[in-house]
Amino acid sequence: MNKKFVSILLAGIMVLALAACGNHSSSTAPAPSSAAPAPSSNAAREPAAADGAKPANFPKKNITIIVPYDAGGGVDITTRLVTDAAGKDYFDGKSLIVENRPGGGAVVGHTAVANADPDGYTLLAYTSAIVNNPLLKEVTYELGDFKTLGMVCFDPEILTVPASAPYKTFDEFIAYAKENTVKLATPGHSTAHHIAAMQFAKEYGLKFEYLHNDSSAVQLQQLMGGHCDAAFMAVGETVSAINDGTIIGLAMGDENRNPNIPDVPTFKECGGTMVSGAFRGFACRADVPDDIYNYLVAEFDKIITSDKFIQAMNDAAIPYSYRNAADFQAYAESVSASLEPLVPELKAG
Amino acid sequence: MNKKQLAIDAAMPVFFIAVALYVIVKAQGMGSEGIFPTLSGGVLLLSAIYILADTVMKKRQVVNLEGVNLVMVLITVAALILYIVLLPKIGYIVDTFILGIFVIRSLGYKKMGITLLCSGIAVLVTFFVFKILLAVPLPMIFLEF
Amino acid sequence: MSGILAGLGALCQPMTLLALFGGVVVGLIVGSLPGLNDSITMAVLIPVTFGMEPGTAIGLLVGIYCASACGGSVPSILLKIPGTASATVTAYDGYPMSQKGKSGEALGYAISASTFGGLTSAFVLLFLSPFLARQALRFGPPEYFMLAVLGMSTVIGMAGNNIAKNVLAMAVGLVLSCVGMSPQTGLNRFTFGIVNLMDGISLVPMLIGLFGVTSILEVIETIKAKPAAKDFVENVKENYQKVKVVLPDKEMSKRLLPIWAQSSLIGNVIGIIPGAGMVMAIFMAYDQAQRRRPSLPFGTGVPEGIAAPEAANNAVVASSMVPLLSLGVPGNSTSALFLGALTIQGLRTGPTLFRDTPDMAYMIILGFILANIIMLPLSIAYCNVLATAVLRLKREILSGIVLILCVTGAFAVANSAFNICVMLFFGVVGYFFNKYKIPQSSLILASILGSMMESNWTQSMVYAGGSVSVFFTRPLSLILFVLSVICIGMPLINRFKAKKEKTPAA
Repeated sequence: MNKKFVSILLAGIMVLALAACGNHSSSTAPAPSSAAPAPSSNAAREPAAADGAKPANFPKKNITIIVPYDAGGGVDITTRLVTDAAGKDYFDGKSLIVENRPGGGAVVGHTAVANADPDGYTLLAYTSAIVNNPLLKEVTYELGDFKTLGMVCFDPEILTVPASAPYKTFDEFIAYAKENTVKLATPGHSTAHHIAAMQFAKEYGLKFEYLHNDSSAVQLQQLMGGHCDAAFMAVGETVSAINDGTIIGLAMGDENRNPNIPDVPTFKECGGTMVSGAFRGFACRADVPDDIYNYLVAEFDKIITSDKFIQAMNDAAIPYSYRNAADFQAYAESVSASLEPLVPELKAG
Repeated sequence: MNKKQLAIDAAMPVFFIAVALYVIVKAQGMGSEGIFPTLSGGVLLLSAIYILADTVMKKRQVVNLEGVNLVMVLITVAALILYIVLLPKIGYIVDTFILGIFVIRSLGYKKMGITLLCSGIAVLVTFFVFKILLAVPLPMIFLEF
Repeated sequence: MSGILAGLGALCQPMTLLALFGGVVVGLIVGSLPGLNDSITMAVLIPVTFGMEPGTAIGLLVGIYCASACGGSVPSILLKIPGTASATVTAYDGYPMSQKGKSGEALGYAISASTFGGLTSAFVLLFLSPFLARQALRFGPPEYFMLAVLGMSTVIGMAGNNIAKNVLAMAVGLVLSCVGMSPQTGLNRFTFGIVNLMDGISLVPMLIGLFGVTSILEVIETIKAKPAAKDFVENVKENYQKVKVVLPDKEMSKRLLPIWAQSSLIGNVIGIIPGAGMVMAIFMAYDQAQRRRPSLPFGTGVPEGIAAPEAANNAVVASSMVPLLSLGVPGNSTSALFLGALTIQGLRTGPTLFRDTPDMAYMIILGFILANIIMLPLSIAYCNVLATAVLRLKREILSGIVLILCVTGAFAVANSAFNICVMLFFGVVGYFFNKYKIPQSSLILASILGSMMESNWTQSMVYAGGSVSVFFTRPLSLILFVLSVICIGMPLINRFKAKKEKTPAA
C-alpha cells in the first residue's frame, strides 16, 4: 500500500516539476484565426525618456509587480506575460515576480504600492482603476502618487445589447433610448464600464438605470439572457460572443475598428466622441529616485516592445497597444481630468 | 439554576441585542442601502429577545463550563494575535515555528525534542508548498530569493 | 460523434494522460490540506500552463478541479476541519462516524459519492450542454433572488429543535453579509475604514476559523495538569490501528443510490447556474437527504449525511463548465480560471469552441469523465495512507500542524495578514457558538446568500420598476418561490402535526 502511494505521489510531483520546467519553452499552441491586431493609433514608438543607464546599486534583488486583482484574471495574465517575456534577460539577470493583492476593486493593491518603500522594487500593474478609485472611493492615495512605466494594452469600451433586442443598430438604439429608460448592466458600481456608461448617457442626453452585478461573468450572462436592455463591456470579453451571435455589438470606443469584430463601428463613426476603454500598463511610486526610474522605464520599454511579448499577447488574444512612459502618464491624467466633472453625479448614485 | 449560570446563559442574547441595535442605528444613516441591514438587524433583534425571554423564563442551562480551561483559551487567542502582529517583523518561518511550538506545548506535550522537530518539519513543508510551489508571498525578513 | 472521437484521440496522448493523472493527485493533496483549495492552485498553475501543450495544460487543470472536491472531505471526516469550503457539510456526519472508529467506511462513503456525482455531471456536460446552457440564461435577477431564498429556506428546514437559534444564526449571517461595499451604490458599509473589508468578509478564512481554529480552541479548553508524556508514534486509540477505506457494499449502495441521484441532480442544477456555488449545493443536498429519510439520526454519523454533500459538490464540478463551454460564461470562480487558461491557449469558448476546435472541446469533456474514473482508486490509496498517518499522530502534534496550515492558508487567500485576523475572529465566534449550542450552518449559508439576495432584489426592483409582481409573473421565479414555501412549510407542518399527536398521549 505504502509503495503504491509513494509512486503515485512521485508521479504527481514529477508532473508538477515538468510543468514548472515547461514554463520556458516557446508556446506551440495553435494560434487562433484572428489576425494580429496592429498597435492602436498613437503608437509612435518614441524611445523612452532620458538616460536609461543601469544605476550602481539597482537591482540587487528581484522586482515585484503587484497585481491588484485575483490570479487568472485579465490583468494578472497580462502581467505574467510580461514577466514571462522578461525572463532573466533584463534587469541584470533579476526576475520580475507577480504578487496578487486583490480587494476593494484594486484599492488594496494600489494602497500596498503607495505605501511601499520608494526604492523601485515594488511596481504596480496599472489599470484604469487607478483613475477611478481616488476620485470615487475613500482611499489614502491619489493618481499623482504613481509614475508610469509604459502601457501594454488597451481594451476599448463597447456598447452591447442582447441578440433579442428590438434595436439592432446604434441609431436604432439611440432612438429607443431617447424615448425610454434603458436598463444597463455593469460589472459593478464605479467600475470603468459604469463610468463609461455615464459619460455616454451624458453625451447623448439619455437616461440609464443601472443593474450592478458582482462580476463580468454574471453581467455577460444577464446580457445574453436578455435580462437587461444593454451593457457596457470591454471588447476583449465580447469578441467571442459577438461572433457567435449571442450578443450584438453596437459601437466601440476606439479610434479604429477592431479587426476581430469588423462590423462594429466606432463611436466616432457614429457621430460621437467617445474614445475610452480599459488600459493596462505598469507604474511605480512617483518618488522613486530618477536614475532608478529611468532605468525601469528603459528596461520595461525593451520588454514590452519585444517581439516575444507582442507575439504572446496576440496568442492570448489580449489587445496589444503601446504607449511609452511619458505618453502614458499624460494619457492617464487626461482620463482623470475628463472624469472629474462626472464625480458628483457618480457619487450621488 | 444559580445567578452566575443565568448570567452566563443570558449574556449571549444580550450581546446580540446590542449588536442588532448597533447595526440598526448605523443603518439609518445609509439611506436606501440601509434597508437590508435594518431588516437583518431587526430579525437578529427579535430572535435575540425571544431567546433571552426563553432563557430567563425556562431557566434551562445551555452553557456547560465545567472543566473548561477558559484561561488557556484566552491565552491561545492572545498568542494568535501576537503571531499576527509579529508576522511582518520576524518573518513567516520564525513566527510560525514559534506558534507551532506554543500550541503543541500548551496542549501538554512534554517532549521538547519531538515538539521542535514536528513544528520545524511542519513549517518547512508548509513553507515549501505555499511559497515555492504556489508562489504565495509569505513575509520573509531574510532570505529573499 | 466525430467530435467525440476526435476528443478521445486528443485525450489519449501520453502527456495529456500523465497531466490528468498528476492533476488528480495534486487535486487530492491540495483539497485535503485545510487552507489550500483548487482556486489558489489553479490560479498559480495557469501562468505555468503558458508554455504547455493545450492537452497537457487542460488535463492538469481538469484533474485538479475534479479531485479537490473529493479531497476536501478527508480532513472534514477525520478532523472536522473542511479541506475545502465544499466539504463543510461532510463533517456533520463524517466526523461523528470517524469518532466511532469507522473512518474507513466514512471515507468510503465520501469517495463513492464523489465519484458518482462527478461522473453524472461529466455526462451532463457531454450530452446536455447546449440545452442546459440556454436554460441557465433564463436566470435573471428575480430568479437569482428566489434561488437565494430557496437556499435560505433549507436553513430553516435544518432547524432541528431550536428554530430561534437557527434564525439568530441566520440573522448574524445576514448582517455579516452586509459588510463591504454595497452593490448598488458602492457605499462602504460596516468596514470601519479597513480597506480589506471592502469586498466583504472572505469566505475561506471565515470557514478556516469556524472549523479549524474553533477545533483547536476546543482541544485547548480541555487542558488540565497533564500526566507524564507518552511516546510519539504510539497509537492514540486502539480503534485506529490502520484505516482502510471501505467502499459501500452492494446493499449499502442500493440504499444510497436515491440519495446519490438526488444530490447529484441538485449539484448539477446549481453548477449550471452562474454564481450559485458549491456551498449552496451541499447545504441543499444535505437538507434534501434529511427530508427524504427523516427517521435517520442525521448528525450522528449517518451514511446519507456524508453521501449527499459529497455527491453534490462533485456534481457541481463538471456542470459549472456547461455555461463556460457553451456560452463563454463561467459557472463559478474556478471555471472562470478555466476561461483564462483556455484563452491563453488560444481557445475561444462558446459555440466557436465546438465548431472550430471540436477535438479540444470534447477532450475537455471526456477529460472530466476520465478524471472521475481515475479519482476513485487514487483517492482510496491516498486516504489509506493519509488517514492512518493522521490518526496515529498525537492530538497535540496534530493540532499544531493543523494550526500552521490554517494560518498559512488564511494568509494565502489574498496574500494578506488581515485574513488571518478574520480567521481568528471567526475561530472565537465558532467557539462561542458551540458553547451556546447555536448552529453554525445557518450562519455560513446566510453570509453567502445575504448579498445575493440583496443585490438581486435591488436589481429586480430596478428592472421591474418597483413592482413586486415580477417575482410571480416569471415562470422560473414562481417555481423557485413555490419550492421555497414548500421547503419552509413542510417541516413546520410536520412539527405541528407531531405536537398535536403528542398531546393526546400526554
